[in-house]
Amino acid sequence: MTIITILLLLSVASLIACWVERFNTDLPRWVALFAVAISLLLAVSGLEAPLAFDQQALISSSAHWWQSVSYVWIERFGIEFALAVDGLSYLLLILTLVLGIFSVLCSWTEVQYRVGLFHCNLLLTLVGVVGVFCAVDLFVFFFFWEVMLIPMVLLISIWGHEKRAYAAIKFFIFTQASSLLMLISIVALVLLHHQQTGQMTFNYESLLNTQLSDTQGYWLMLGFFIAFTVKIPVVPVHSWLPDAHTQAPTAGSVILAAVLLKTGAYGLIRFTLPLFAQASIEFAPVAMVLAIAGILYGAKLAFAQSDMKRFIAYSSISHMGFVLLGIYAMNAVALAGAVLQMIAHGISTAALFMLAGMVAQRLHTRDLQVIGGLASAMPKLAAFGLFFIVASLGLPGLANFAAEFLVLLGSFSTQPVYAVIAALGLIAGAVYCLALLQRLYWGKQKIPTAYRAPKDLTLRESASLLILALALVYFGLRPQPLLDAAQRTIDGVIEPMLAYKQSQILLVKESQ
Amino acid sequence: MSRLELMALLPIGTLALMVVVMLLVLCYVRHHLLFLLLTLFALFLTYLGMDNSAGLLIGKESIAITPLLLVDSSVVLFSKLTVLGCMAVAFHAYRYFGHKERHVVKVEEFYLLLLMACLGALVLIGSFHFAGFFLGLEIMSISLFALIAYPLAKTPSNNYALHHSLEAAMKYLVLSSIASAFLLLGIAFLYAQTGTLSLAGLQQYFYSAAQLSGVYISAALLLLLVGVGFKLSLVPFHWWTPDVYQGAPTPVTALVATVAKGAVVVALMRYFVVTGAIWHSEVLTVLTVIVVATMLVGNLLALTQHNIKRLLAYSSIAHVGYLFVAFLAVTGFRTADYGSFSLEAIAIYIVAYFVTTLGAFAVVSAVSDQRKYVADVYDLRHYRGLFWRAPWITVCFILMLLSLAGIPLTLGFIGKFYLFAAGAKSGLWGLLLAIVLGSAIGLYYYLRVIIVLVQKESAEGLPGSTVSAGMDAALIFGLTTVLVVFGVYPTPLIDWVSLQ
Repeated sequence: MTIITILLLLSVASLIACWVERFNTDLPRWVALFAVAISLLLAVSGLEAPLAFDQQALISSSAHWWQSVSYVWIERFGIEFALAVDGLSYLLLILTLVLGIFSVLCSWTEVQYRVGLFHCNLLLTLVGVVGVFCAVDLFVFFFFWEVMLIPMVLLISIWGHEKRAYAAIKFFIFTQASSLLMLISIVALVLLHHQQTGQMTFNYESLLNTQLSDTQGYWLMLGFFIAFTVKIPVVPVHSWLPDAHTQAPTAGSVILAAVLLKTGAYGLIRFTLPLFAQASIEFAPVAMVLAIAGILYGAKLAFAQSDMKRFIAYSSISHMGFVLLGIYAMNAVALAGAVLQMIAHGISTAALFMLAGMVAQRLHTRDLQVIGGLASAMPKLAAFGLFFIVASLGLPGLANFAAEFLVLLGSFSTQPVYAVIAALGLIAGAVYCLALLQRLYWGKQKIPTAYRAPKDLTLRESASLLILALALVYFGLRPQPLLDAAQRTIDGVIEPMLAYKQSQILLVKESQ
Repeated sequence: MSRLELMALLPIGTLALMVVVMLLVLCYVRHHLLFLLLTLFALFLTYLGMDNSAGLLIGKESIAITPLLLVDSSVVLFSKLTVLGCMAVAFHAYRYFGHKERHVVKVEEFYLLLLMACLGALVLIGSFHFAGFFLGLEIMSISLFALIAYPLAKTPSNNYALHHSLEAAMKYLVLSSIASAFLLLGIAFLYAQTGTLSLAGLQQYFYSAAQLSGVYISAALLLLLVGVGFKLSLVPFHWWTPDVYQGAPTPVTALVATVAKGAVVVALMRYFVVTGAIWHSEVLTVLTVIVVATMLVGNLLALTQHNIKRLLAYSSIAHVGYLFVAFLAVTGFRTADYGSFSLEAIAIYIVAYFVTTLGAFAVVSAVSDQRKYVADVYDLRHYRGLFWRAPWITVCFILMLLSLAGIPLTLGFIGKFYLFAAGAKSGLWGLLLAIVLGSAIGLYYYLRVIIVLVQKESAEGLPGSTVSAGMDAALIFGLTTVLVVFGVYPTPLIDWVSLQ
């Protein structure tokens, strides 16, 4: 029930935000802030608190789902409006809502045009994302997958920067076209299941039992894989991301980078691997090569950027490559690392985009050729910049390091060669991050003459960045709570894979 | 004719009678609102008659009315849709022709012609004999010639619109006649080979013949496809579509795009499926190629359009292409439940397409430039920032565009979902990929329009267009409600479709 309440709360709040604009332009901001904050409280109190009485419950409770609801939706196709939360969903749900709050905060002074509609779209995007993380009916999943798209497109196309229409259209076409492939796969999977059991259902757990031949499994898996990798994004289909990130308003970039990209990785873990275990194992080497290509290519392009937001976008591609690597390493440690990386990257990139937004709001440019050496003018901003940039390059002690380390450790045990090449990404990361640090904050001061003597961070800005920084430190030193929460999901995904691999090895031995 | 046959003929009879009655009324009274009400009344009676026919059908497969017509559940369903579509067009036309900037002298005849077109469509849908088919098609087409040329301007200021609609009507007249000639030649070949024109006879012939071959049969079927392809604006017979859509009065455009096309698709499906001609390998190949081309070319040509009516014209070409995927999916179920799922998919898709297209054209005709006293503005730049000037109507328009693009929360998505399910059931993977490709292209121009609609108002002053929807607002909001409610919760609609 908690999830339904959250979804309803956010949807209703989006309409209220639109409506109250006529009274006061600041009201929508408060409405959005309260709605997301209350949702967060609801999520924590309704989902985790019942389990908190027994610490072991997180790991050992008999039911896989912490909470689930289901209503009949479209009887003709056996579609149910089914939502459920387990450890992984819960983590991403919390991440979404927390960063939702920050995205409202960071647009507090930046967005002045049609404030009500802006927050309406922001909240609707969150509705879509929350739905995606909780859906356990494939039709419902697809439904929310699309719902989060339109408000995001509007956010980019109305409140974005100079090339916003182009970026919005590109983003829309990439995601929408790939998701149609997923729709074909979903429908085909359901029909195959229908042929085998005579039961028409889109339910996730029922579909897990579908028997697929090798070719069927491979093609259907590809449909899902393409849709999810476009979102992550993985190298050949990444080109929407730099444009969308760069042109979006700060809040849009934060939501895009911190949350929307995670839906792709979540989809791979939740759907692609369990539904198509066999095909995924066969496909894993290809996926890992794509992941490594993403890590290195993203790093190289990030180094070459002179636009702050483009830089962060390409570094995202590089970091999300680690997530893909971890997912396809077929190993519990690497998968745990991938989950941790999703969260760590969410926090650190959100903070970087907020910083970029703060700089752009003060200096009216994001071009590193025009600005530089900001440390002397804005020391607080530079300090936070230093922190989040080194977090992003993977400084030990911060969450990103823990995540990338786990991914490399896990993949080294199954695919040492890939792990070694991927580790080069860490070095490349240090190179481009430090280069940015040097150009933006240190060195000779370069500030456009029109905006001399910019104001340093305000209390609101410092406070929000500080909270994110503390979160990174905390999870860097103590990632165990996150890993515990996700453990059951990870085991649930990995165990069938290992069992299948084991059986294959036995088969080979027998034939010898 | 038995009593049962007469009862089943009642809806069509009522409609024909009402046309005559209205013609007589016209001799004495000219009153716009009265004629709208009479039209709606006539259509309502027809709808009731169809309900009655549905009652007659209980316990029967079908009722044959003379050798020419036949009523079964699918005929009732599509006839009802046609009638509802015509009601929306009549409602739309009332405000369109009543607009004072358009200076239309005599509006009442429009409703007569509209009812005639509806009559033709109903005959076409119910026909079970090539004579009935041709009769229905021609009643409909001839009414459409006049409808397309309709706005009769009184003042010179409107010459431009007059010129356009005459050009459109000329094009439609000439090309449609040629297409009819092809159709007739095809029918003649068919008759030469089989000696019968009734569907029952053809069915017998095709199933008893050892194989569907012979030059006559192939030629006949392909000629039929050419003729019908023109009416449905399938590629490569689509050239007339944008010009006619652009030139015709907007309610007529809506009529051509929905009712006229829907009736032909339904008739074509019946003729090709019942006779088994669809399994004729040459027909299947040609049709598949045509369908893929229609989806892709329709979408590609829409990319460069700046005129909203032309854009919707190309998009309607593509949508008929999508619809044909459900049609071709019939071939997957040769045996057991032959095509009933396909039929359901087609019905749902047609409902979605009707609702969306009627709504979109109603919005288009509501947009006008009040500053320059121009009633019709179709250029995309007039739509810039419309969202901020007329938020409610524009939200409806955006929802309709999203529905055309097949995005969830709208009926268009349910339709597309049905297509995917039907295609996947029959294993038409290539065609499904073509839909994905076509939709991906389609997204671009739908989204472009949406972005134009929500763009910030430009600094150098407004383009001046605004929305004056008047009574049309009720139509637009009603259609949008249907679009969203059934898009979110389609079960009642699915029940309604499968009940018939």
